[in-house]
Amino acid sequence: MQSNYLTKFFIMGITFYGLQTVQGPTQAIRVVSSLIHYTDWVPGHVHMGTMGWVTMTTAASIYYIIPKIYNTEIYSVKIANTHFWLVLIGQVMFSVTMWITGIQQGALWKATNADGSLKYTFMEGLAKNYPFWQLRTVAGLIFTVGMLFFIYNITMTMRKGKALASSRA
Amino acid sequence: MAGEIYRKPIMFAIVAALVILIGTIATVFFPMFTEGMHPKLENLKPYTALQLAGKDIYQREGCNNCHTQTVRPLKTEVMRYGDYSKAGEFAYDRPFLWGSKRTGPDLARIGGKYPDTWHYSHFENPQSFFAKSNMPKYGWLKDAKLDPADIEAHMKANSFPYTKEEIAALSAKTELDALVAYMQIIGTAVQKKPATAGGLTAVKSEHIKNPLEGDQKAIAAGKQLFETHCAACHGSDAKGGIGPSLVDDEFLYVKGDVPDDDYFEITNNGTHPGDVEDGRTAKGGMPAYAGVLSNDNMWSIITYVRSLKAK
Repeated sequence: MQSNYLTKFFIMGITFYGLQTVQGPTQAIRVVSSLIHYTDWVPGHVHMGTMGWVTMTTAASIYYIIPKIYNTEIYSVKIANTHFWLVLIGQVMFSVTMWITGIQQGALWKATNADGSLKYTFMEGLAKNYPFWQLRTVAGLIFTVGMLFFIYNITMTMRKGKALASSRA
Repeated sequence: MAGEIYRKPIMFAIVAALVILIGTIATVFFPMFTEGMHPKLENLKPYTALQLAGKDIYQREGCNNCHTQTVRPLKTEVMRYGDYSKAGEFAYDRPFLWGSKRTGPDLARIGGKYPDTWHYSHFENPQSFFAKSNMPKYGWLKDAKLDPADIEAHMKANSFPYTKEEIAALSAKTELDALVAYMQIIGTAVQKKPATAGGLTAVKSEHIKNPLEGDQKAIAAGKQLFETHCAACHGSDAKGGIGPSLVDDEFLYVKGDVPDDDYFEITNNGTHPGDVEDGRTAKGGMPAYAGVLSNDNMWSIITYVRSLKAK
């Protein structure tokens, strides 16, 4: 992992894939489903796949293949590392806040008073989500900035490759 | 010889495929054409042209991204929304709009819960009902006219019955009218049960005294509860709005007051058009609060309303 910057993309990608495939069937268990179904938990679960597994492995594949096509080295390993950490932090923060929101929603919808009546109105539950949704926005921004680093790195690699090709010709 | 077929790979593949095919037809395709696979509630009717237009708008605006239309058979869910969803109530929903995420509340039992005026005002400005609501405003729908030819084509595609007059009448309606008409039909094929949720005692026929009558603490608690649950329709001063005034001398459109337990019964069960309460006929529009509010909380609200009346 220290010698090749791409390894950690693949390892984290596969880890999120593994976590998601464990989480998915767990959600089908009746008790779990009765708590988290229809809540923010589910989008949290899905984004671990899209932002963790799919994005990480796709980005690593592009990092691998673009220098090969242009017959050069990657523009900057440092930027690639920054990209990795931003995407990782953004994604984990995104999923974790959604899971907390989901469990909270599910619990508030189910909560009852001693006499059996419902404890919270739907609106009371909704208002408690807002801080988490703001955190989710921050997480999404971190992730997006990470992807901008990625685009910049790839563009510069392609430019470097083109310049090399023309100087060789 | 019995083992012969195993030595003929092509023959074996064909026979295996045939066996699986017969199994599939018998267990999947055949039941698909039996009546039991297409359940339909007895009083479920195809959508009228206006209701279908509303359903199309619901779909177009992506209401199903934030609102579900399925009540699961879980105790608290049935208390919050109403009877759990039945397979037979979606026969005319093509496509069904069950949704998968509740950013907003479930709408499977919204039909008849509130009067039309509630929906018009709420679409116009949801925040005037629930200050912290994140629902977008849909007032602009009232400026959009319906397209009768388009809706007629949709009615035909669904093979729903309709009349020429029904289609002609659409040109005078707005998209908001259609959406409200759709809201009011959702889930109405399921008969409403008298609301006696989660271990709460049903109200008896003889008069019960308000256990919190005149209690100062109950008045303070009732005031807060009134503002959360009642003020949007009955006004923050209880003098009426969408719902009737609670401080005048009328109850269910007839002069003369009624005892506290009649107030309780209506808060608990809600009203449905034609319900008779103490010889007075309801027009419907009051949601049931059984399960949503505890008995004590309902009595507190009534005590608070009484204290307003005394002033």
